[in-house]
Amino acid sequence: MLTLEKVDVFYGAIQALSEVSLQVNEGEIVTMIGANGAGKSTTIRSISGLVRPRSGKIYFEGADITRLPPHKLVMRGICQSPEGRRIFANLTILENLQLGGYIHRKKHAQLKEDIERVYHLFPRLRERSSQLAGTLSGGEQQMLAIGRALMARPRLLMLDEPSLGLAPFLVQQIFHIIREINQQGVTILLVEQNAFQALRLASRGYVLETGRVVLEDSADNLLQNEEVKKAYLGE
Amino acid sequence: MEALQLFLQQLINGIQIGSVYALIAVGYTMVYGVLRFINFAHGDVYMLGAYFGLFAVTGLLANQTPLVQGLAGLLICMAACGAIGVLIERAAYRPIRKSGRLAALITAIGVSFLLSNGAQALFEARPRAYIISGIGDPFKLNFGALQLILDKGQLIILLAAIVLTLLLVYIVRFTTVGKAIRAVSFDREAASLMGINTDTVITLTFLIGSSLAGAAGLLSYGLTRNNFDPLLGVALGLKAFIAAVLGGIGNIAGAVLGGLLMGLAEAFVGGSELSPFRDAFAFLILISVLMFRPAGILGKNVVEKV
Amino acid sequence: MRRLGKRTAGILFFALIIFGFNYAHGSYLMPYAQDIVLQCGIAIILAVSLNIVNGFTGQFSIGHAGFMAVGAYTGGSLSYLIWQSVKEGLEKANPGWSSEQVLQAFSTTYWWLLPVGMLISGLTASLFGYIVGVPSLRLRGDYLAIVTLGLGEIIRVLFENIKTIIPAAEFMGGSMGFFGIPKIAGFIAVYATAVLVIVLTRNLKFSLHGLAYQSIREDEVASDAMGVNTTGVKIAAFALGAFFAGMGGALYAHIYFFSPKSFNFMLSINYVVMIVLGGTGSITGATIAALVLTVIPEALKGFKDYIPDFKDEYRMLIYALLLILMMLLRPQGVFGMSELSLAGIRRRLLRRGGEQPSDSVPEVPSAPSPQPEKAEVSPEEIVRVEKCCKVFGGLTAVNNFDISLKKGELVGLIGPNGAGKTTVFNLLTGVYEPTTGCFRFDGKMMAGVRPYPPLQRIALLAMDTVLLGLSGWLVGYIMSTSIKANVTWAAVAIAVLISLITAPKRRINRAGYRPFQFAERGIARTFQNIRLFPDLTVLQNVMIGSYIRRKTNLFDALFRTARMEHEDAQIEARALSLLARFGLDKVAHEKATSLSYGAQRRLEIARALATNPKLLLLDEPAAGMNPQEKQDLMEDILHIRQEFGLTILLIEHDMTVVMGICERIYVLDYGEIIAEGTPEEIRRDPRVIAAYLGEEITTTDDKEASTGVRAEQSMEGA
Repeated sequence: MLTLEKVDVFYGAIQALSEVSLQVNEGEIVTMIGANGAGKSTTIRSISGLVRPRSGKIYFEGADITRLPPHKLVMRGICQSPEGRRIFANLTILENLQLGGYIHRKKHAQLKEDIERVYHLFPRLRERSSQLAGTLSGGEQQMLAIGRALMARPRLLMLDEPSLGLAPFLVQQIFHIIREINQQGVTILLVEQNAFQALRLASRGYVLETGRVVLEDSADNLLQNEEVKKAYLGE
Repeated sequence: MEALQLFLQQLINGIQIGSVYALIAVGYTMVYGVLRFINFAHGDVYMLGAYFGLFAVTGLLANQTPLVQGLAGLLICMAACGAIGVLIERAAYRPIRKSGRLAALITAIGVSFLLSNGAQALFEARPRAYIISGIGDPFKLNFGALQLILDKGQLIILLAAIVLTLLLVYIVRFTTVGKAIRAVSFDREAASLMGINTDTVITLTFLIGSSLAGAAGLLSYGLTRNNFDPLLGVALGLKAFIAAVLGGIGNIAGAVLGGLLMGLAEAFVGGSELSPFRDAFAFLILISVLMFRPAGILGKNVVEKV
Repeated sequence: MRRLGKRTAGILFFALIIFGFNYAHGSYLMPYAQDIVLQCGIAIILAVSLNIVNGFTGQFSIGHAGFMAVGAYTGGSLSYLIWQSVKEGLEKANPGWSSEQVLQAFSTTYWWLLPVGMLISGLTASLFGYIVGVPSLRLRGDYLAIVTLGLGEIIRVLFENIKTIIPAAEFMGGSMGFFGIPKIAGFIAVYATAVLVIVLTRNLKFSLHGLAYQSIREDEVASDAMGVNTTGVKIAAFALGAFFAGMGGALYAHIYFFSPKSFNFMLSINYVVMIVLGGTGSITGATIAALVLTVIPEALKGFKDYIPDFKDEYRMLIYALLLILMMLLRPQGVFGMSELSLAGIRRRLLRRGGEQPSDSVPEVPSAPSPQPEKAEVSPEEIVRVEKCCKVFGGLTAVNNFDISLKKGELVGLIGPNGAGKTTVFNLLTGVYEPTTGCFRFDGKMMAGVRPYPPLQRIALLAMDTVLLGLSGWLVGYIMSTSIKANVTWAAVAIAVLISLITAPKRRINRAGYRPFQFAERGIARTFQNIRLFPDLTVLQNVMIGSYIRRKTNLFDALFRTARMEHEDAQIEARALSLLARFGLDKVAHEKATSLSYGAQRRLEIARALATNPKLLLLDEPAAGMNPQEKQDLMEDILHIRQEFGLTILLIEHDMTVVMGICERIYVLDYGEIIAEGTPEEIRRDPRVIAAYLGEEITTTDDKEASTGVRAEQSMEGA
């Protein structure tokens, strides 16, 4: 479904990604793990068109999407819940969700239905739908960010550190919901610092280190891998 | 009683002047919101609005009734100025968007020079004035001993400004486009991840802001017989920009509030013995407000992330 | 001695050139061209002086003409008064003289008048700059721009109505313009001043002080953290720029006729355009742009001779188009930030000739001892944080935070992303003030509630009341004359009343210390998202760290005194040895941003060490490093602790690093310390495992349960 071929990304003189290749198949949950600064977010940003690779190709459903701007990628079905949530704090929760469905803005019935779907997934958001998003707690903001990304009816959903700054029981909840979303047919690419959780959820995983893919395997194998255990699972 | 009468009269004058400032200030604030950049040429777009009004009313619509002159003239001004705003954005600002703020500011100054001198070359430098005739005598309101004179032109300016502002508020608050504009103002990158074409939204912002400036151009000259010339844009634009900063730049309600405050200050200072210092007061107010609220009256102070 | 000789030679050289050109100027040029040459000189003075504010410190002032006006009126008045008092006497004594001869005689007798007048003008303008700078430089970017613009305009309006304010100053002519100033300045005065301004500005730029100025432009937060009093430096830059502008204004007054309108906002904009076009920060660029932008509009006037219908507006149209085109083609200005110098040209030629500086980072010489000797931890406490909370708009980032570090300790602070670790660092370095709680460092209270002593508070409140009363009076006066009824005293009463009513809530606590004061006390840090000064060299980055321990002042920098040269050399040597310590000496003259992540992180540590800290805070130093670099980093950290006698607090995700070198570890989750202990203890702590691995807790621990409850409550409360 999604293929990266030898993608190089530079920030100024610094190489952030070197020859990153990865693949996501339809219906999978794939995770990228690695230390801060390893290039996980950069990979996601290059897929969604926020940074342009210097070389390499990105294909989505067979088409070359390497140089497409972000909004065209959303129309093709690639959505992202960005790192740090990036919700529109000065808009209400309902407005945030409506903007998530911006590409379907003419289809009022569908929007209504999708908002219901998100509210069903995150009942807390329904209670607060007319509040400004900035007044939400961290966990609720994360729910909103995910819900907002779902509004575009993505075929590929990329989640960048959904557990950031959340209490453990909330992390659990978020991970449950990710699985649920996947079961509804959305392919998921997950970036997580919480490697253990992520690998338990995912079917396959990539390990990034200083801008390179150093390991790629099924999630179960990675969980057993001694090096991964030592470096990321804290054992 | 005389004092009260004078007070109310100045209040009305102030609100009228302020409503024009507000219309222009909204354009500054919206562009600043999406691009974080002072569109220095905005005052000159307003100046062009006054000229388009002149040509529309005395040329194209010369034989029409005042109502048609007013409404059609307003539409023509808004459309023409809107188009110019879009053109400026596309031709001058978009190419340098990534080059930093200083480059953007200098470009804007260049565009401002271009418009004001271009207007001077095309329309002559002499001051002009015109009026949409047939408005009729001013209202005289009597409350016992209190007598207020309400110029109908002033009243129309005020009403038109209110209608346009409400229209703008409707667009920004309740339409999808308005939500997109607010999203782009808040976080352009996140907005693009929603599938919003941010370039289109920015162009649209210029269109809205410039057409409001065009409307202000017609209203403030076509209904008052005041003189205008090709170089007024800089000074007036500056005051409108101060109004926007005063209210909290990026905030539409703030721009309206700031515009009204500026108008009131101008009316009262202008009527006082300190009227020669009128221009200085605009800045004095701004500076004293910024000392206590560095982000303007309605602006929010953003803490830089470290 | 040799230095002095060089300097004298320099002065002689410039003097010779100026006199030579002066001769050519007087003898060969047409009056019109002479005029352009003088205009160019003044433009150079103004552009270069504005460059100190806008170019070096990166502030955005667009009211420079206001200071020029202050200078013109000050210098003009002085000369006017003296000239008017002796003119008649001179004319009577020499009845046959033409007015030019009288003026000639005057300028010979009173040769000191112009330099003294310029000095006084400069000082007055710089006083204005100071008064203006203190309140307004708290603002940033566009806000500052608009305020400076406003101040320029206020100055203009004040001079237009000077009669109303100071009746005695009627001779200044108000909006009609200032007549009767002896026009005694010429080529020599203008260009001697221009050269002086250029030389002093250049001296500043290449001194330690100049580096501090530029660090603010590069990254204000980092600059503050490295101990640069950013507000103070900005005010100094503002006052200095105003000083030179005042001198330029005084010159202008002695050449041209002027009115307040001469110093309008368009003139200020002109100077801004010059320095942007020349390349902000480049003195060479500002000078050349000043020349070009003065000559072009004048040269365009010549079109009139060839094109019959050429209107003046066309000239400005062409100018505007050129401006836009220039920005489209080269937005960073012609010179960027670089300077033209003989040495630079020579260097460039040499570089092209042979040895290419290596752009790859040299390998760090791996330290011989893998297990450095245990550092001595004294029992003395150096850091004590008590019950610190930081709330951002309802969200609690750090809650009831307590830590204590002993001198010489190496302590880790770990926790999931978003747990509040960086917020802790920001509290410890003064970037944030704690909402509640306090922080003691080395026995001194650095952050926390510090009430004013009662007397000081009363004085401040009284000052507020007077100020408010005065503004009330101004508003009242306007209202009174505007509505023709006396409400002045009512307005004053209201203002004073407001002041008194709100008094109990105002001026209670003193403002917290600023980050540079934390740095002065000996706290240095690195940043999670590397914050180097990107356009400065690696060496300059480290040198700025030493600014805080300087012994020279601005005067030394401007005149490049022996003290300054000595200190610059000393600091450069120290910076180089620090760089060598981190294996960065070979790239000392490269731009900081050209380094790899790992090298940039090491550079940040070197820069922090240059401030001579007692406590070093490292924020994810290993992020983005490869395993070998990490290994080296661990050794480096242990070594520098020993070498510099540091206490270190370390945020790090990489467990091998944290567990490998820390003696003690604090675990932060959800803004609270959930565990503390040795690496061994932390590794086994179930709460820590839960926080990291997100598993449900099977043992019902009190603390964990309460965290959960609190989270629930905060969600309900939101």
